[in-house]
Amino acid sequence: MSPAPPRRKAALNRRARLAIVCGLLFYIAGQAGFRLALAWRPEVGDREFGTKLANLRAKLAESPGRPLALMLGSSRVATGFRPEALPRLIGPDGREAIAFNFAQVGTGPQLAHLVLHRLLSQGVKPDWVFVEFWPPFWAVDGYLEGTVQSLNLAALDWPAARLIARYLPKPKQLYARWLPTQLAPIFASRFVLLSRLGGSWAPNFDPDRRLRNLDQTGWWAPLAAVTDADRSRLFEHYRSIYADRLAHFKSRPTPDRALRDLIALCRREGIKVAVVVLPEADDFRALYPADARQSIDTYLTRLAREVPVIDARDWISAQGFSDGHHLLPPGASTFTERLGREALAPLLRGESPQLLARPDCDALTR
Amino acid sequence: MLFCSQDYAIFLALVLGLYWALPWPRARVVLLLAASLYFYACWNRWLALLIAATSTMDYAVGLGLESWQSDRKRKALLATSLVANLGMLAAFKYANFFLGSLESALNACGAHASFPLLRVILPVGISFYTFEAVNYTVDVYRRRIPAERDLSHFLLFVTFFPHLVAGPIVRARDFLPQVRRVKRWSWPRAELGVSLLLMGLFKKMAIADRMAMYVDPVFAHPDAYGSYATWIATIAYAIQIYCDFSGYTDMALGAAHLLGYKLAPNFRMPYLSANVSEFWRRWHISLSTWLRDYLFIPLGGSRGSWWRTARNLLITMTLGGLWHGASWTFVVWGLLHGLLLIAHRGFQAICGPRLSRLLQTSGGTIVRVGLTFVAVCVGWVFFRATTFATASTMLRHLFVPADGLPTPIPTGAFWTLIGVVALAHAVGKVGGWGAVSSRLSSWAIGFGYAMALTIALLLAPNGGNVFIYFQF
Repeated sequence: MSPAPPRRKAALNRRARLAIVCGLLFYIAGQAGFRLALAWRPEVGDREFGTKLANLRAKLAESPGRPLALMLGSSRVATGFRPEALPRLIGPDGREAIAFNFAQVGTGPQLAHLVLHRLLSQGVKPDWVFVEFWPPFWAVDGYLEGTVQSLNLAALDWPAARLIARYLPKPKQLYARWLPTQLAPIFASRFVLLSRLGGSWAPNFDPDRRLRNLDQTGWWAPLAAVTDADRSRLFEHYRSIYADRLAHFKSRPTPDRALRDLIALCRREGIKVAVVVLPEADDFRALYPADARQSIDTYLTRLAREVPVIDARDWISAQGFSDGHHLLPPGASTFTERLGREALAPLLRGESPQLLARPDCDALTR
Repeated sequence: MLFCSQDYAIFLALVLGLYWALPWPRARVVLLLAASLYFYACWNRWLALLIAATSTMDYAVGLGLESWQSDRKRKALLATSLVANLGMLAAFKYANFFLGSLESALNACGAHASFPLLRVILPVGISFYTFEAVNYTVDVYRRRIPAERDLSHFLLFVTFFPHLVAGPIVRARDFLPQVRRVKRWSWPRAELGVSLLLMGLFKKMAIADRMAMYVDPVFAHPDAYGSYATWIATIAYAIQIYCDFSGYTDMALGAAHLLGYKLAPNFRMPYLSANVSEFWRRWHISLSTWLRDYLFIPLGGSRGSWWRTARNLLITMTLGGLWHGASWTFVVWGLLHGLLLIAHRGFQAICGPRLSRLLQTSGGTIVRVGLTFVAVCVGWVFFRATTFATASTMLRHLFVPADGLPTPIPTGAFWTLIGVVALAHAVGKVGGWGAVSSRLSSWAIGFGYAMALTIALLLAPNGGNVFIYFQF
């Protein structure tokens, strides 16, 4: 084969160079465009957060200018706080407040802080934030390490990644995982994207499982009812998970720091904040030994010096739960109605309700 | 370090950057050699030393074969090299297989035998680099190529990282002259390298690893699945192994082109073969030509009687099967292909002119391609199955209707990817990607590259699978 003449060779060189450079530019543009889409429409890469955000925005758009009360927490809040069961919540200026359940499965204080941070960066600023206190999340330092594996890091910007990294024992590991997701966000979000094409493209991956039976106010009802046998089976399942953690309960520094950071963020932003201890069934509360209960009460009492603490641990009987700690729809309605009447309504009016009226706590505070 | 991993992307980018920044050819060779040994040492540093040691021995053998004139001494030297190389392969790869088979045979005869299992790690790519070393010493012995005088060049020939762990099996006569040649950056060549890398990545991540989802559960529990799922799994495996191995090869060729080296192509759309003989001229070409040149022809090739040729084919293909893995299922796979090759030769001999003309028509060709594909798929069942029980259940469910579970996951992705593979073959058949791309603008080609990479990343399964041929 004779070599190409110089002009032809130059044209071939130019053509090949242009193809490579264009390929690179198109690739970068595609990834950058997708990254922007993730910021603009979070539900593309983070179905649970994004869908709740879209629903919340729709609610705010229906009645602009009304005060917003957000509840943050885990699946217990997601299933237990049912805004439509609330009485009318009137703010100090006479306007009716919007209440929204922004709980996400697996959210302890670290992720609650992240959720609030993300909401603020999306331009959603609540007037009140109610954050869950659940002892098992306070009993371990490392729960976040497992939970963070299921986060789509591509959907987090640098400040959000930095926020979550500070609660991990090895922040550099998170940065090492986060950086590639920013360079190739389509790769990092591929299962969420492929799941839209059907089960054959993303088998065993269902990002919408937490969106089924999710109402427009953020309340999630995965189960309508359970039989007594199922309740016992589920309780045993969770007992095997939590009993040990609760038997040796001691508030760990990392979740405590996360809660205090969240409170500090609320204060900086002029957001009022309160802590809610959600109901648990008698048999679940029996998993706490006496010294654990005392340790929790001491912690809550100290916390109550800084922010209002609403203790609803014994508000609902065992029949209201699916498993001793997740409320069923009727239980959620009962709890939410009472929470609204006894705590949220007075708090939003600017009054101080009797929140920590437990005898042992009173003794500690005297 | 897998070719489709983030680590390899960083490694390749660093090597390429440094390689083309170095102005001295000698330094480039040293860099490539260091990078190749590092690449292997990432998997196991002691076995990287083993390759370096055996290659140094082969280098010395080559020098001896060239300088010595005595036939007897040269034969002894060649035998030493072959025994050392093949002995190493046998020790690492086949020792436990032979001991296990002997034990089973003795126990079957009533004797009570129990041999200890040897605790050895199978060095990745040992089958490939052993064959490369053998082709070098044999060719030097036959005086077809001169012995390599530069140790670093010879070590690079054996350890060059793009082909080190799964081929293609390079020939010394093709590779060593390239090491000596001064390399200059060429954009068209770089584009060729990039396009091959992307094509390989797409084949592996978007097709092969997805097909595995239809294959693995069925081969793990063949009894549980019905005939439909078994057919889907078998076809999916045929596509998986092709896209996995040819994808790896494309990436190897692409990386080599980016470094200014050309490796021999290993595949030419093998599933369009109209007979098994043609299949072996299109599938794993570097192995089939090696087996032809260093085993089939030395055995006598097809020069003797029909029976002698048949015997040579059977020996060659059976040993070719055994080369793939230390298991009787691989032996049977090789034997089956040997029998198919013999049957094809026999059919050619008895096929009359009318039937021959009929088979050459479009319809006849479609039938031949279809039959060849089915025969190859039956062979893949033995290749993929880890036991004969699995293979026999799979074959029974293929050819005797059986009820059972449907496919492990819905087949939407399977049929879509089959369509992509079929379309790619159709384009390849009518003139190839080169002809298509020559009519496109650079922008369009660049867009195609970006799309190929994006889709490959989008379809990549969780974790990623090791290349199938890494185990050989």
